[in-house]
Amino acid sequence: MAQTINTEVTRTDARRKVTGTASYAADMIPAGMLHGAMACSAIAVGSVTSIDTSAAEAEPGVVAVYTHETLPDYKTVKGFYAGGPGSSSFWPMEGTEIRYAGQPLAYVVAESAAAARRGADLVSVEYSESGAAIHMDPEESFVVGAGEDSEGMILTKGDLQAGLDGASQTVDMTFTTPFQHHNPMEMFAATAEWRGDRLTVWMPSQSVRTLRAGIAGAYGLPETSVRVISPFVGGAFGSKAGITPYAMLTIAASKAVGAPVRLIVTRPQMYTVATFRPETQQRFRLGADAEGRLTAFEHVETAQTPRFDDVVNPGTHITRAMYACPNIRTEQRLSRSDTNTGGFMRAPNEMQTFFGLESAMDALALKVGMDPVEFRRANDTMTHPTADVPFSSRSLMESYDAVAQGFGWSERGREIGSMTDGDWLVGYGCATATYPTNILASNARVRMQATGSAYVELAAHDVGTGTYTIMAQVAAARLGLPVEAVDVVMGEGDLPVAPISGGSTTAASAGSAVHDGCMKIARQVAEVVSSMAEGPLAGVDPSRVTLDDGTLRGPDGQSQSLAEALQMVPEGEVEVVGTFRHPALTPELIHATFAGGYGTAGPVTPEMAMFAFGAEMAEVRIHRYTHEIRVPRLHGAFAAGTWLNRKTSHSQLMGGMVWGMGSALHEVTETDTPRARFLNANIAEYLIPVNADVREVRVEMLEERDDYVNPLGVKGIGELGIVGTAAAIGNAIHHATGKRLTALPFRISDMVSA
Amino acid sequence: MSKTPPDLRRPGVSRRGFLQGSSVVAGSLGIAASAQAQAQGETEPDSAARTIRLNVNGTSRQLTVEPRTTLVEALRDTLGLTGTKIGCNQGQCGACTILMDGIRVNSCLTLAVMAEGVEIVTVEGLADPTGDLHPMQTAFSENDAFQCGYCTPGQILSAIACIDEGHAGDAAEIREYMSGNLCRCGAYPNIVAAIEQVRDSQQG
Ligand code: FES
Ligand code: FES
Repeated sequence: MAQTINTEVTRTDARRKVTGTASYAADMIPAGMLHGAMACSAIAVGSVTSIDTSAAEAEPGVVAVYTHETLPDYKTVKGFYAGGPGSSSFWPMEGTEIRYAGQPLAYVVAESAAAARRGADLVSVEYSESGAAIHMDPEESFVVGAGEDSEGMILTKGDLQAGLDGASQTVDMTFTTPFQHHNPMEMFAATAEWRGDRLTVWMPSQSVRTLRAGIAGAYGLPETSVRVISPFVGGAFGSKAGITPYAMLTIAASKAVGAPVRLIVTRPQMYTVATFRPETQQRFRLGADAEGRLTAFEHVETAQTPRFDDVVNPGTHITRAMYACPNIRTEQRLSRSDTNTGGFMRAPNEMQTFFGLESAMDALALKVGMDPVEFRRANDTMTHPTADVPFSSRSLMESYDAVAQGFGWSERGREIGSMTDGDWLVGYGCATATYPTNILASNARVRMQATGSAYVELAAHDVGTGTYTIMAQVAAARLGLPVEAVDVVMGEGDLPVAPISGGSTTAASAGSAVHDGCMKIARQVAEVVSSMAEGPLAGVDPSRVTLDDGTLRGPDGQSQSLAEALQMVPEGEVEVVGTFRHPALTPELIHATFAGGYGTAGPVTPEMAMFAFGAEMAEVRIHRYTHEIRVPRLHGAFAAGTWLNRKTSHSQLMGGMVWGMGSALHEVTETDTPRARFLNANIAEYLIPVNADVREVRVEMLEERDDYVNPLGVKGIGELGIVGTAAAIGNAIHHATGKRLTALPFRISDMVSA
Repeated sequence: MSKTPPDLRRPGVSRRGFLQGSSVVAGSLGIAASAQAQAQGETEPDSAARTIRLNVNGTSRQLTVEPRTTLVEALRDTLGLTGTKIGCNQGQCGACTILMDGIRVNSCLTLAVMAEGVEIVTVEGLADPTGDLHPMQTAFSENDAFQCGYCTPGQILSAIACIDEGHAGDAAEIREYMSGNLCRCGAYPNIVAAIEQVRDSQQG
């Protein structure tokens, strides 16, 4: 059997994706379907004094217009940051209250999408407006969970002040990162169809289990009455995890109108009806001795949160894992403003914080007079600095050495501004990437037939991550089948429980459940064939039979292929449920996942700290006269345990680095500050990297073995690539120009003024 | 999006027609529709549905649409050809790219009634009837030129046109002429590699 793990396998869904037959939620068109559209608030804070729907109702094709007064049987769920499945704790259209700009106020149902949109435009609302602030004021912030045991929201080790006082060099730097929106290419959508009290919802989702359990709970229905279908997801990045108001509005409208209703959220509305990356401020105070060893490390992160939710994405929990230091202090703060609830956007704890940390490390390396890579080496550690447990594996410096070689780091001029090429100022910068290995419970149903086919079913998702392919690869490798012989079914809420596709968990957790299923099949088959009178494994102790890439092996060298052995099983097939329950998963965490929640263990367990690592290097060129910033080369080397599929892993890491470049140079949700609303709410003025922005992006994937994280030795990589990129680019800009940029994104105007 | 203005290439899709399409999506539905009705000297009400014929992937299809119905919504919601995707519905992302007489067009900025009499190709029409993929489809698969796949139908049609236009000379030119098709998954280097592969095989 050809090796299938750690090879370049073309996606099993590639054909469906290039022929347009991959079904995304909005591609489902149930018979008799009507179209929904929302009218959203033009003000940020206040109340609705009246809504006139008559013009909308008179519009040809409009079937119904619902407001807070007229939408029957509209249900809501608890918000995520209050422990529920919802995207926000505040639900629009329950009353007249308006708490953020772009809040849904009316829902139009019509015979065509165009009529629905026109109807929504014709809804006329009178407001009573109050003052609002869209930006946080870091001076008006508070410590998360202050006064309680708040899971290390403030943490101190050693004596920070002593560490600063004893340092030969220190930096005290404050960085800011802006609001950002995920902007997956697939627009948010929901289609609801009621048949009696049975409900089907087609909706792109990172967690079909969360949707199913939450919706069923809200309507008091048994989960068996609710189907949630999301076979393909057109990008998510954290935006399609929770139950949103637009979904619950669509479900209620469908029920009220008595027909299936599909809502495709408009691109501008996507900025306010789901979540986003909150703006943050990052303050670092670092000190180092003359040899470049850290003596003091302080990180205070202050992040924006709405009035009605505490959006805690604790970045300090990740930064403090990075470098050895005897004196560490971290603090996690929030500051309120008038927005909807933010949430997690690709590397929600890491992107902002590593922009700050890795820029500050660069500045300190310079002060100490060390090469930035050597400065990291001097502070590398195999023990988690605050948790005091070993890393299960940590190949940070191996990553630096690998990327440095391919990049040509040794060519880097030591002095600032020492590299030029004609009218271009050239700079090289580097930064560390890391991402925690989060662990969730998972199940997977695996069935293998003697004919040589296998079926894998689980409620996981392929949000572009290659999940269909890697699940097939894991089963194919264990069962000794070609990848094409494994059929993978996912993206439905009634399949065996698998984790939310978030926190880079699916490959590790769900993949390990598939692995376990294959092992269970082998055990069952071994029991049958060992009890037979004849056959290669007749009479052997089944508990001593092992599975080795599709071959059952007895203790004394006997062997039989699994497919052949299956022919001796009366049913000609075996079906099992594989499970993954890492020892670090408590019963409470397992319960949370099975109830549709996010029962994550790690990255720090009582025994180990689990993180993937990488190093990124950027070459920037800044034009001497026009000041335009170009990134002709972006290189990264990463180590994340086992690579299941070198092709899809490469794409994920590369895509992450492209995102990192976006954070560095493009992405910001601008605000109309006086009116407290997002301004560039579309996909042309919210800049993301386009093809012409992306030149050479090189990804190197290092071999690393980690037997602790899970049976496959896999760490998640969906988010790793974005971490550190912005700092690498910022550090390269500093190297080229001597300008230390502390606010994302970097722009020509910064080059002129700073 | 960079593309050869249709009025230079073919009279069927006029520049005026495109401007009307744009203004429709910008929100002044009634105005554009009546301007169009006036321009055509018609007297029927703006909103009256009409029956049109579209030539899609070599098949003539009859359908009834409102004047304001966009081509992408007619393809998807009326003809059930959901391979064409909507990523913004306002001409910013290229997800809805189709070919009209070989020219790449944003179908969200095109009214269905403007598309009569031209040959429309969508992603469903690329593989040959035996199921063999178009070389660009194969190249996208092999080069992993996507992750989520949502931008892919538009990218593939745009890529085919990019080569046909003669805008695939080198990687830099491809990047420039493919920059109207956004890919949030960041598959750009692989998209460029796929296009180079097809270009080279066609030259070879
Ligand atoms: S959907 Fe047409 S350009 Fe975005
Ligand atoms: S593949 Fe996901 S947007 Fe391009």
